[in-house]
Amino acid sequence: MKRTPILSIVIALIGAAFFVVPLIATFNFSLRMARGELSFAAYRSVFDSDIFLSVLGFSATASLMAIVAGIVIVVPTAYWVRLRLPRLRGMVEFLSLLPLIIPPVVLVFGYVRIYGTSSILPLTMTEGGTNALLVIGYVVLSIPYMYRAVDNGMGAIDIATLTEG
Amino acid sequence: MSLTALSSDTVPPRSRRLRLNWAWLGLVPFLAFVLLFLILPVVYLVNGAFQSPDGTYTFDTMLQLSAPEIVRSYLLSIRLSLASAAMGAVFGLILAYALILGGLPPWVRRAFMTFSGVASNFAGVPLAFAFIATLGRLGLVTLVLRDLFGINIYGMGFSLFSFWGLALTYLYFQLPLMVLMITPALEGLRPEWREAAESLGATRTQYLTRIALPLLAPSVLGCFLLLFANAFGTLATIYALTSANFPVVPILLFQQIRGNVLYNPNLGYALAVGMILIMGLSNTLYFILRRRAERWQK
Repeated sequence: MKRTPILSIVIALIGAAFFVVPLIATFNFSLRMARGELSFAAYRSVFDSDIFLSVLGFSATASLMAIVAGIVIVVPTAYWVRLRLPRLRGMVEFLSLLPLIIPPVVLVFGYVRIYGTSSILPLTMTEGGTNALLVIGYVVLSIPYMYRAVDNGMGAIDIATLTEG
Repeated sequence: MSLTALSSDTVPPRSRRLRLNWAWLGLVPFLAFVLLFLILPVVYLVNGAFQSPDGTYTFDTMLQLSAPEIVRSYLLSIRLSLASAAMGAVFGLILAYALILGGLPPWVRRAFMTFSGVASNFAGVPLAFAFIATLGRLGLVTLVLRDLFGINIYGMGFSLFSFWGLALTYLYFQLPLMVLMITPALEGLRPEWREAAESLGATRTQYLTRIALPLLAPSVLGCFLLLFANAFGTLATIYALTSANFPVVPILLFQQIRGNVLYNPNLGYALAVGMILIMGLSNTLYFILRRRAERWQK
């Protein structure tokens, strides 16, 4: 480069500040549990609390299950469409993009009504059912990204040729 | 696109005729899942939106969306989404331009891209909390400005829980999303075009306003629409910041889910259908614009 890009540096610094300052402020705030001093008291109390650990475990389990369920649904479908049903690719791609158009609140509203008290499949009546519905919701919301990523990946490794061998 | 055409042409006709009868079975799990957990819930809501509470089909429920407080909610949602999308698009474009074409070392760009991937998904309660700790009444930045520089931003009328405070909070995930989405378009600006313009005597400003911006316009507008839709559907961030004092459509719908605050369950469905229509419109426009933008990226 001919000269130092001063303007670019200034822009990048402002951008970096906008991204980093809220994180620093949050961390700083987390150190202020005891009045008037900075300490890790909040972290100590959080890790001593059974509720926090069980909630963290629940979140992690739900996310993991959503990933596994998403892979089970998306990978075989993308493979099959590329290999056997290339003519249906447009339709499947369209369906996979639909969750971007349906806001999550609306989707949940539909779930609450369809899988609520008076339905054939009253998932929201039991705790297990509600949790399953939560994981299903996560999977639906992740399908647009997952399908694209998997499909692009399969395009890159030329799945049809590999399967023939 | 060319790949699709290629793969459908190279499938031998023999396997098509023999196997296609059964091949669709492979799609059943995906289609069943999508039907049960995406199509049916939406169809149920749409169906309900065109019924009256006693079950007869009518347009009345959709027409009730014109009630003043519902119109106010929609307008507030649209204004907030437009403001945060506009800020995200403009600042994101400037930041991405500086990162990709501004002559910065590659590691700066890599760091921003990686961080953007994380930050574009940073929404909801954690984001609300981070901004309360930053710009809330006792936030770090608020206090530093007040105690070190003597600037009392809350005394000057700023509030994190106001329209612009919310728009600024949304910017935290809108800006990185814009950076990620506009990067391919910026990379598609070929150096030859710039060199050609320069060798014909164009100045830097002329190159930007006459060549780069018109080429980028469809991409920028498309990304703007996607940011708009992204902000329009956001519930958790705004709910965590304002609980229910800021009645955007997602919050109104959320309250309707918790307990029938509209005193008409079908009006809730109509509210949801209105949201789907707005999201659908902005996403459709996005896809049209993206197709247009891709003409220059071959």
